[in-house]
Amino acid sequence: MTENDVCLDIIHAQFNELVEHYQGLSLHEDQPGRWIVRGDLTFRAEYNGVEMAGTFSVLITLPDDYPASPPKICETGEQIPREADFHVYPTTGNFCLGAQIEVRRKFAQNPDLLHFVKDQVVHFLYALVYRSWFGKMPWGELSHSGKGILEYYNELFHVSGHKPTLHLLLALHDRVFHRTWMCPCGSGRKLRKCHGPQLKELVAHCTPEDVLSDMKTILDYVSPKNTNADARQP
Amino acid sequence: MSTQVLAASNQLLEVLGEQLDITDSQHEAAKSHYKAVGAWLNQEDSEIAKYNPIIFPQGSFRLGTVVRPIGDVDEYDVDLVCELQALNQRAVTPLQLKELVGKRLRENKKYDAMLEPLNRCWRLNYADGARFHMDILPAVPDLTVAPTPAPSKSFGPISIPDRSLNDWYYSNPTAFAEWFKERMKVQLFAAREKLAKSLREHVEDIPEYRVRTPLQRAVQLLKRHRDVVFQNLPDERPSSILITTLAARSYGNQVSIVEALQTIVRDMALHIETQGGVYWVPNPVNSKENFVDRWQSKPKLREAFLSWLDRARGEFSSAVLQESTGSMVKSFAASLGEGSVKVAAAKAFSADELQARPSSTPRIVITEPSKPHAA
Repeated sequence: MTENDVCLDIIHAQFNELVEHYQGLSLHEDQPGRWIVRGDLTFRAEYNGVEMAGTFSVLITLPDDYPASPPKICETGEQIPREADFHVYPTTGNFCLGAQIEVRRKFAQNPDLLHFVKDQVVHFLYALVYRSWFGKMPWGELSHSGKGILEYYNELFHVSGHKPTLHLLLALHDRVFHRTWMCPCGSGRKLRKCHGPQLKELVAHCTPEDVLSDMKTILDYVSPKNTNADARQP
Repeated sequence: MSTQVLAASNQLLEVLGEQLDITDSQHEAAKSHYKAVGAWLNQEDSEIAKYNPIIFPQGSFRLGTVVRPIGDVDEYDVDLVCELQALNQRAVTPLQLKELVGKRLRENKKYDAMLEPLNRCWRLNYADGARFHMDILPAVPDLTVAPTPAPSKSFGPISIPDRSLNDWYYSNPTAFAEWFKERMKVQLFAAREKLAKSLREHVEDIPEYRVRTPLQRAVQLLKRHRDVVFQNLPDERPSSILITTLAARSYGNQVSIVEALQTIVRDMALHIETQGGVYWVPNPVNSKENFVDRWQSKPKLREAFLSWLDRARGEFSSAVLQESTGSMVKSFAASLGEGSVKVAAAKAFSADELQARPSSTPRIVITEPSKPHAA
């Protein structure tokens, strides 16, 4: 059995599990070695006592290194506008399910198709349907581009302003955390008693390149040249 | 939302709207009844004939947003204005005006038997199976407003007795009705055209009351939902004029009832303004009049309105999005009253369609959602 066969077995097994719950979907080999799941995804979900349901035609693409990386998903029924306002990448039509590192982190907890759909895609679709009735997102949303990335990390690290986040990201990029060092967030506490454990967990879900790219995006946003940086903080 | 689900919910809501509505024959009956009242007030021997009385409909009967009361014994409310055109508020007190109209009505044996005095108007309880009563609100032209060159001699701003009959209250039901019609004119014309085609008649020959636009249907459904929710809390009940105004402001010419309803519940609250720290929903034809002036002294009313709106959003969205027709009907029955919804469902669907199939879709309770991000 080659490595490829093992991977194929995983995909088939995962798809069978998925289709037990979401019957409108089917698995295809789109191009040699590239697997996709497509069809109608009907969901029902409840958040804070409000139930939402809906059916969307979707296309899930599995990346080459699946299941090391999470799938990507877009909609094919033209129900959702291809706009950043609807959390869809205008060029590819893929859903922006959350900050990239968050999507990977969640997927890594249960790296299979059913959990991807249940824990990320259905949440996303719920939020869009909710918005069409209530005029707002049920649990908030991140701002566009750099501002949103900064908001995500600030929430994740429980810090405010861009400096502590950038220092923490720099440490994450370098991947050396000595337990006795002072935490880069500036709290004055030792790393092991502050952000150390969190950084160690995050290492598994991002490459140094990913971190560098997020840092650049944040830097662009907070740079004095960027006049849109309305929430810039010292 | 899939197209089948959308179509099924629209079908149900359309029939339910008809169910809540006054029928064409009831409409005709009400019209001939109030014309007869008008004739009686104008008859030669009438003391008030010299004041040139006219009778015209106002409120939901005029707007086409009548809602059948919950329960089968209750009657429709038809609101009429009786305007004494040749009188004015300098020549008569509110109390005297009310008495003038009441006296003339009592002089008719038939009306005397069914007359009921209310706070500021007279109610005629028709017992001929018409299933409605008519509230006749006495009025005089409002002289505080410059007369507009209206096409008809009156139908302009009026003064009516306030609740305590101590003072005048200003109103303009005609201008409000015109404004409301303007908000839905695209779909109103489309609906009349469609009916004209099916009857092989001219559009001009189809009276407006024979059709209902998605806006009118949405207002009816919202009012019915309000009636259900506030059945035991009559003091906190949001007013019909408030719901109607906010709905008409939010309506964006949607063609289907579901989409109209969706847009309206989404945007209604956006049309609540503040003026100098006071919540304000202006009367569209008189910006000085605030439909939520009582929110100032009773903040509970605002909370009641907002929590009702949230409930309407939740219940309508979940009902419309049910997978099977059977569960959709169940869901609507819970929010809009079992009786009317079941009758509507029986008319709209076959027994087969109404079978509530057990759903195969897993129902998820969302915890720890991620915030979506836009690149």
